[in-house]
Amino acid sequence: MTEAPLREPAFLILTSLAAGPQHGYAVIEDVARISDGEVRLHAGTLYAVLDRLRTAGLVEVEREEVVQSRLRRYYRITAVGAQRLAAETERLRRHAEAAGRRLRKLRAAGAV
Amino acid sequence: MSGLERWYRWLLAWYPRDHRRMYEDEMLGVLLDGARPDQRYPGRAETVDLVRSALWLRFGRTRGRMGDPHWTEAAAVVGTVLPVLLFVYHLRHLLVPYLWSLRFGDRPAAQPMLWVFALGWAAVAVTALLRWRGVAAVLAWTATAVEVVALTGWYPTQPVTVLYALWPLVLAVTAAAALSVPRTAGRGLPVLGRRRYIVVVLALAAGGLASGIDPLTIRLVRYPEGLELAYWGGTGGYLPGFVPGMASLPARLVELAAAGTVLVALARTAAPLRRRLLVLLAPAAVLMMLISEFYLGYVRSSVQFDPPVLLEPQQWVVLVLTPLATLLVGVALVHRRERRLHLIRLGEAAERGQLTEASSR
Repeated sequence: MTEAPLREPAFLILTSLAAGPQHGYAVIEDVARISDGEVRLHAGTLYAVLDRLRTAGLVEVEREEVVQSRLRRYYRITAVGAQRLAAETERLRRHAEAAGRRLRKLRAAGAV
Repeated sequence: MSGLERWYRWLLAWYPRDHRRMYEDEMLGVLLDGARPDQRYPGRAETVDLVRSALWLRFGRTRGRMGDPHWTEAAAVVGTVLPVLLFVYHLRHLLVPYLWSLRFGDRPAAQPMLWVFALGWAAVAVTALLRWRGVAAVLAWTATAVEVVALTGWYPTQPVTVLYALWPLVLAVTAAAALSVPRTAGRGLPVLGRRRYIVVVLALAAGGLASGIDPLTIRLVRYPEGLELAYWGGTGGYLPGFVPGMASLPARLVELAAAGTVLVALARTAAPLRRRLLVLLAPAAVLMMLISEFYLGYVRSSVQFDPPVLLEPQQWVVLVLTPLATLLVGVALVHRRERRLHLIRLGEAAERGQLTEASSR
């Protein structure tokens, strides 16, 4: 069965964790950096998506620590998560290439 | 605790308890880390984001849970069986009065709407069986909408008829919703088993049409002032305009046997499927019991007036909310029970693991 495509926040969170384990706030900062500031995740979305990814086995908790009397968890991408990110990247690349080819043809024909 | 932290805690209180237990402290840390030093209130965008995520986790996740394979199986079975039941139900309302009028020598009343209902659900049953789930779903929603329109038209003059048509309407909505669930096409029959499906359909047909036994077997004694009906198991009078509603003993026995057969057939399915079938059929069953137990006074008084007395708004609220509440409570109970069973199994597995480890030392 074909899996549903990853939504943008999930894709970007997995991309962020592909660089190494990170805690929640670092993921928010990293996603903003990856997307050139276009995607600014808020805590509600971040933890709803992290919860879904964790349940699906795509990410897991690497370690926990207490900072200023508050729990901080570091998340890491799992092997399944990396496979899923690779498959999604390949899918998006195929689509982007197809779009690029057609746009080049369109420009060559002088339509745009 | 700062004022901002208090605001964040208040917003986080909207989240389900299990999510709070897992993430509340961590989320609070992230929210405070992202706040400006002089910030006193949560920003508008993050407030909307927190509330939206909380609502999604509370309600959207329930919808997601309904997508587990057992719910899909239950929807497949319901989508295959309920259209047959609804077809038989409407056929009964066509056939039985027709047989009575033949027996009494009256001219059978034309019932065009009942034909539409019966044929509509027959089409749904056949298309569902042919695995045309999309077509069956569209037909089922159309049949349900036609029923709603017809009942709305009848309500001012026949509110009691409408009242008693509400639980079949809930079944119609259940069937249409079940047929709208993706990946259920053609699964009802394999999940239920071909033999069990045939048994259920035959039992539904026998039970649904059992009241046709009366007009076929009854003994009529004609007097100048009317008729006397001699049933198996009782007698009653007939005057023009009187609608015979008393079921004789053989008809009642066939109905009971049919209901028992359907219940036994469904009770023999696997436990997760059985629980879900119970939950999906409970709203209509509870509504039927509610109407027959608590609306009897209304029924008796309404028919004595012309025009009849209509239902009060609060009575409508109860009629609408009861099936919804029954479904939600049922879903929550099933998930709670299965979570408990899962935890018990995990505990037992851990115990077994410990025992094996101890014995190998």
